Amino acid sequence: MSNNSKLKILTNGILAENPVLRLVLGTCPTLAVTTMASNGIGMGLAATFVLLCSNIVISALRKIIPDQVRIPCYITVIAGFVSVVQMIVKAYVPTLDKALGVYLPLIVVNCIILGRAEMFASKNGVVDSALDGIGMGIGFTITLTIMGTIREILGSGTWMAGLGGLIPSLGSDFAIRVIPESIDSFSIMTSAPGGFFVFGIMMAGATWLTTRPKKEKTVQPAEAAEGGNA
Amino acid sequence: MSNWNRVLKPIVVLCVICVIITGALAVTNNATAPIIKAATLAAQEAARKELLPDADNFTKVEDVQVENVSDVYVADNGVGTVITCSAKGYGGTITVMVAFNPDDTVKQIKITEQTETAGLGAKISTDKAFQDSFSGLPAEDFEVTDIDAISGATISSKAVTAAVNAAIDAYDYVH
Repeated sequence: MSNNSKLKILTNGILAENPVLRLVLGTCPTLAVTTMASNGIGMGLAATFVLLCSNIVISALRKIIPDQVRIPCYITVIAGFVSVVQMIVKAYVPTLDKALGVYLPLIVVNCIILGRAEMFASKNGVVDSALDGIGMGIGFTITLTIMGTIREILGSGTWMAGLGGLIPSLGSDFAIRVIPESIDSFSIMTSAPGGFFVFGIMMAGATWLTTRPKKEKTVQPAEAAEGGNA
Repeated sequence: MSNWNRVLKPIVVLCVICVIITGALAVTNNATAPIIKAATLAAQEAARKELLPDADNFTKVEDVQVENVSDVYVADNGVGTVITCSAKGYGGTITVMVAFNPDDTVKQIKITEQTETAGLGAKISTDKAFQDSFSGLPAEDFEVTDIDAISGATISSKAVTAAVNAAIDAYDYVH
């Protein structure tokens, strides 16, 4: 396999096959944790770690695991990694554990991870599966962070509040105030309806970016990335 | 041979995977359990110290049978009492630590856990004016109208009031 296709596997998850916006997998944690940008980063990184580990293990075992019991095997492997992540997060970043709440253990049933195990890791080599896991994880993290940013700025007027939980040196009160406190925040954005609004708009944006008719080859790829999902 | 592939191999493979994963979990749990326990205790101790900075050490008061009160700690040098209590808010349980002065008034409160709506009820843990309005209240039952409730978050404000009232009951029980 050429280097080019390896790069393609890695970048696929970011936009073309973005797990949340294009494959529409794992939408429950997406809607639930993105009330703050820092939650999105934390959830995204935790899911990326699990995705990478489970993709590598499942790909390595793909010739050994019999077809009849593949789903129980995948779930056991994924659940194992999730529990390991949860114990580590609880021990070293307890504030993140509190912020993510029940959605951390629920990574087990996050469709992105089982979906990639079934669609990709069970059919491809270890290196490709690892790249796919990283790419999908980055796509998930970026999406959650952008969504969290929009919802947090509009809904609470701050940005990256709670980042102190991820990076203790920032202190627990760290937050960047974007909209002054004197302006009332648009608090529907941090509740469920706001999540659906942002999710829908971002999905439309991603669909437009990936399926719009290509004009000419001279268009700089950087420009397409600039358009972003904001 | 076909029996091996069809029936036994799936069983063996699944069992082996389960055993390996269980082993990995046991190792991680062994390594992290003491750290998690120490972190929880340290966080509680730090929260008590924050509420009563003059206290040297705390002694737990056992057998306090007041509903929604989880623990009562009295400062050894007599500068006050810290009571942890909880109440059901809009989005789940709200846990509050209440510090009392030796003269039977509320010193200050701290919201340690809450899952209220961000931007509305969640303000209970950030809004200083709301938290400060509990300070100085005498240790007897009060209503939500006695404090500076958060507009748009009546249920959350009432829940904190209920939790602090529970702490006051426990305080009166101890003293």
